[in-house]
Amino acid sequence: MQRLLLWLVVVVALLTVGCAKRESPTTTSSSSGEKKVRIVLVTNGSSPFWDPMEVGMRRAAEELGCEATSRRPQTDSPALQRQIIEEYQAQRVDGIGISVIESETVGPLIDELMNSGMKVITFDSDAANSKRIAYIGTNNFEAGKAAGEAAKRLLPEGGKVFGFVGNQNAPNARERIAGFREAIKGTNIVLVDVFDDNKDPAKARANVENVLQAHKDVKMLLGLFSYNGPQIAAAVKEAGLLGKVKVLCFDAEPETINHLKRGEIDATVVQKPYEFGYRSVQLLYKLITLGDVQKALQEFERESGYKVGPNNTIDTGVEIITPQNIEEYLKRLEALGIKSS
Amino acid sequence: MLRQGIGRLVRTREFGVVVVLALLVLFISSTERGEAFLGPISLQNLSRQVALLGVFAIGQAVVIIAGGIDLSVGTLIGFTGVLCAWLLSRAGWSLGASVAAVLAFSACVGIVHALLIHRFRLLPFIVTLGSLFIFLSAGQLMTNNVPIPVSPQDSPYSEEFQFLGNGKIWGVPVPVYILLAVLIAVSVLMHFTVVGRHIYALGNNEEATRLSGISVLRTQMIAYGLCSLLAGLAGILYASYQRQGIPGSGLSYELKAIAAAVVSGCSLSGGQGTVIGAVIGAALLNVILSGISFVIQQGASNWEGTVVGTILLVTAILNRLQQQWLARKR
Repeated sequence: MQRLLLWLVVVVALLTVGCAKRESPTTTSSSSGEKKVRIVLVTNGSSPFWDPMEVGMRRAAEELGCEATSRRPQTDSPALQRQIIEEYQAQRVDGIGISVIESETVGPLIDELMNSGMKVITFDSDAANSKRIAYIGTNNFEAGKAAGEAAKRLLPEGGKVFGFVGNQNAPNARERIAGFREAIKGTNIVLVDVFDDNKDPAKARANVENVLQAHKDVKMLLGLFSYNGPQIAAAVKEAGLLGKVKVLCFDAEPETINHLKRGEIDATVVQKPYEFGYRSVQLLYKLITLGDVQKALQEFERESGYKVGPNNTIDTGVEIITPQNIEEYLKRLEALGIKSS
Repeated sequence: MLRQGIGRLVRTREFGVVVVLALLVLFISSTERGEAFLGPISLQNLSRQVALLGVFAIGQAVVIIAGGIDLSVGTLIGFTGVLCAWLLSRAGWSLGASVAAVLAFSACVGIVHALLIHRFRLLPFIVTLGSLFIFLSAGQLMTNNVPIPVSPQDSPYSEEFQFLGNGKIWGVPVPVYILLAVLIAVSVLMHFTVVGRHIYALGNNEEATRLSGISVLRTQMIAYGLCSLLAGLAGILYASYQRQGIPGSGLSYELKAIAAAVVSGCSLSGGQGTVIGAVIGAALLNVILSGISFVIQQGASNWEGTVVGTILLVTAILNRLQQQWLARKR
């Protein structure tokens, strides 16, 4: 009995310690001058999604002659992110951009930083109720709508669609699903249900296999997180349903690109992480050097070509990549110095 | 004779799980989409999932019977999958060499676990918890967190490789044959050899085992080595099934393996249970998981935890009632 209790404690401890911490910094500084503007961008995890973001960040820092660092928390623990931000608070950097993991945890800290005179913006994931100056990133509702528009092109007759995601209650998933539903309103396309896989790739695949068997009349499968696309394509291929069941997904993992090249994924919605990095540094630099929020935003709007929306949100937009334009897309990324996102 | 046979069957610890499993299958197949659940493709998918989980649940059962636990199997599955994909796609090794290297590496992991547990008198969960984190991070470091695909342009062996996880022989998925081979081999080891008796003895009473002149270290090396070896095998199969090595995959699979082993009678205090019980437990877990998408029409995912947890608890209660009933009869 004692041992049993011990194991129980272990299992619980395991789940808790699952959010242990490690993180990896990357710094870029340009050569000239002293007392350079110091900017830090804190991501929401260690995913390779952030590689192109860092390329954009470095490019902007070089062009502007400021110092920019990115920090990737090794896990998506809100407490860890808060700890990392506090480190930079202590170092008194000039500006900080945050991809917020949990707005309840980080929001009050953002307000504290703003009150102390630091310039804070959010990118990729917002804390809309905090005092952050602006948000730069994908509007996930609009991204979901773009996916819905692509679905309309792929399924002009309509039909049943099933969605697959890590956790449908995550804010980005919820917004993408809502946008998708908005776009397909009034058509014969129905999003029947969405399945969670808790970011377990084998479960993501098993979910697809079950849906393909339980619902013979399914017309399209929608992968909402980056790893869902390859899992869907593999399951559809295995079931011999390529071409009969359309595959629509998000982001461009290496396997997603392979499937696109072979025409086994019909379309993927890609975000612009390079722009997150580049534009965050550009905007923070303006906020720090100009000191005036309105002036900085106006200049940013003029130079970047992006519109500053309500509550100072800046949507960098998405692109739809298909087997027809995949090669051209990859060439464009290569020109920016990015392998794949 | 027949009555005796049935009587013995009813008395086994696995019986309760088999009953729950049978009732579940009956229930699912009686629902609206039940016909599709018992359709050939659905059964192929289901049996493959059972086989993938069963392979490493067997290893976990062996360690639990030996009175230990191995928390590292989940992330070891993720890491060995990445390692196998890396050897095939990046290092250009042949399929045979890659598989052999991964299996050899995995077995060594278990042997090192046993050495640490024995030499420093560490608790198994501390040792394997350490490994859990190391393998998670090692996979991420090795890949910079980007999955490594094993497609035809990456490796000339990609088709043979993906056959291990996705292929079928006479309509039955390849992992099922692998599971059967593993199950037979490990069952023979556990029930018909001296080594097997030593593993049970070790789980029942380590001190008595030591005093009777059995090498505790050697027995632990076999138990943990086998567990890690089978996790490595599962890692290869999962990577093959996904056609890529994915860092961070396999996370928390150790809990699935522990659940599969324990639900059908492996005692966490050691010395009790069977490896076939772990396979039955794996079947129960996967029937529940697939069944949910056939039975629940809306919001299936949100129901999953409730359904799995309830059925596990009910099975555990049935098991306990059965044991009490048998004890009273005796």
